[in-house]
Amino acid sequence: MTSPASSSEVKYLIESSEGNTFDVSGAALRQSNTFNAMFLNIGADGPIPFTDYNEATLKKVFEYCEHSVNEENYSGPKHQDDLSKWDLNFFNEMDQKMFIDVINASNFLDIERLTSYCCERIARMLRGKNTQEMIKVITLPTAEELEAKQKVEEKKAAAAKKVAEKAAETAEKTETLEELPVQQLVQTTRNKLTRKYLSFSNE
Amino acid sequence: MPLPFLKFPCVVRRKILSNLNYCDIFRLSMCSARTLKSIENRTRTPKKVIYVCRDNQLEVEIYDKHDCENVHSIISMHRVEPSLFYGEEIKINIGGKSIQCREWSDILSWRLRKMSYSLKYINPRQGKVLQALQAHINSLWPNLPLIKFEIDFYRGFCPSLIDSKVKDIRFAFSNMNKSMLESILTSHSNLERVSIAGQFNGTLGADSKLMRVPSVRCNVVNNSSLTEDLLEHFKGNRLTLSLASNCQKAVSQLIKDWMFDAKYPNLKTLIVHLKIGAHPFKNITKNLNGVKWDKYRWPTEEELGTNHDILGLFDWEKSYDIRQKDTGKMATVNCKHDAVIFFVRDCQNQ
Repeated sequence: MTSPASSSEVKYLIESSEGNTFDVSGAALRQSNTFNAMFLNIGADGPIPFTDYNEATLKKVFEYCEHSVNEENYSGPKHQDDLSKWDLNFFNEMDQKMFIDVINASNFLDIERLTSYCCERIARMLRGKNTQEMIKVITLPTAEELEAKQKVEEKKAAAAKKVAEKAAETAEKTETLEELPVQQLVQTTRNKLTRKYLSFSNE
Repeated sequence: MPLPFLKFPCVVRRKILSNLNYCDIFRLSMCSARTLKSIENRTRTPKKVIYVCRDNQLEVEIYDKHDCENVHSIISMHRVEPSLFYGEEIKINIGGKSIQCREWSDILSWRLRKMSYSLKYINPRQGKVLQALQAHINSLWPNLPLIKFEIDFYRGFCPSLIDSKVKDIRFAFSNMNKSMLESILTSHSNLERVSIAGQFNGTLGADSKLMRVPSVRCNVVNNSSLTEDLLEHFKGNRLTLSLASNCQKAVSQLIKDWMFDAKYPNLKTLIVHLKIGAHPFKNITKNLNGVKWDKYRWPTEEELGTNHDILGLFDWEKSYDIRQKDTGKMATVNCKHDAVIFFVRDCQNQ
């Protein structure tokens, strides 16, 4: 499918969580440090599976990469006010859910520029707000959620304890099983020897 | 749809925090115990934190690591009477404790001339909030290089409330006495700097723990016995006396003792300012066989132990360099009618 060649015309196939595949140029993909570390030198024989993210999210992320291919080298995060019109449109088009998915995907793919812009955008949502306003911006787990989580953790701990106990029991049993034949062996040899001794003494 | 801040990967959270200033980070950390846990020790550490304790008010100021001029007043907590406790009630998390507060509109910090996030509470004990605030800040920035306390009142204030990591204390209330001072210095033996800005009653004596504090700044306000005590028995590095009166004899004796008897081995800087109308200093440098200052070696901030603003107060053309008799250490003395500065040259770093 692809070769390790670094020509910008090389296309790579990307597989999303839905199992769909789509093309991404090598130049765009090389902005991902994760890709560089995994595939750049060895190449990929089939579609590259990024199956934790859906097609729409991955397309959005690579749309950004395609656009920033021709931009000058990245030199640290830019302030939101310095973003170009295209960048602003790119972020404004997304709804909140897509935005969160894009942050996570861009973090996984290690696309520094996109991750930094996204984080700057979140920081902008929090900046200058008081604690109550911040609580509205970020989702905090409610008391019920925390309780449910605690219950799940307790259940997990109890299950793990049971498994450990069972394992200990089985280990004990195997130990006794291993011990039995040895004892038997000792006993039988002892019996044989006494029998031989008796016969010898009778003679 | 709100942002799931706590569910973001650690790298993302760290990048978000790097885009926030100290005030925003502090407010975010107060959202819940989990938020505090998720961001503690993940942000840049400030250079200095100052707790300003006034009667019924606690204020926390943060000095930026890279830009010392950039000061933030991150929170101002006011203890109020129940009649003033109106407005929407909120629960904030400070140091793992949930405290019921009500918000005041941001108040102008009188010291910093900056707006400060203000909360009011009706807790009967101010110390509880102070301890919670200290625990919160210590977990948010565990490696704080300098924590300073400014105490503007003493009524009901317990020295044990002050964190043991504190290195710098400024007492700004009147009627301070030896027993109060000694109790604080006993419970906080690691103090590097003590400043007494209010009036001090009584004397100290040679055995006082203040004599061993590395840097002492004191408004002696007409207390000549206190002035003489400090000038005679001080064993630290830097002593600054303000509003002094009639201490010519004690100052010149100190310089002579340093020069001829090698006393005050730790002393690096002595600055004495007289109060207006006090008997002026006459020429202290007269009998010291000093050499006129060569105009080239300006004192460094390190040598002065204070900022360079003080340089403008003296006419440095009239400075004299003196040498300690036995060790050969060099010092510079400058005397004008209302102030004396004496500092030991740091020859190793020149």
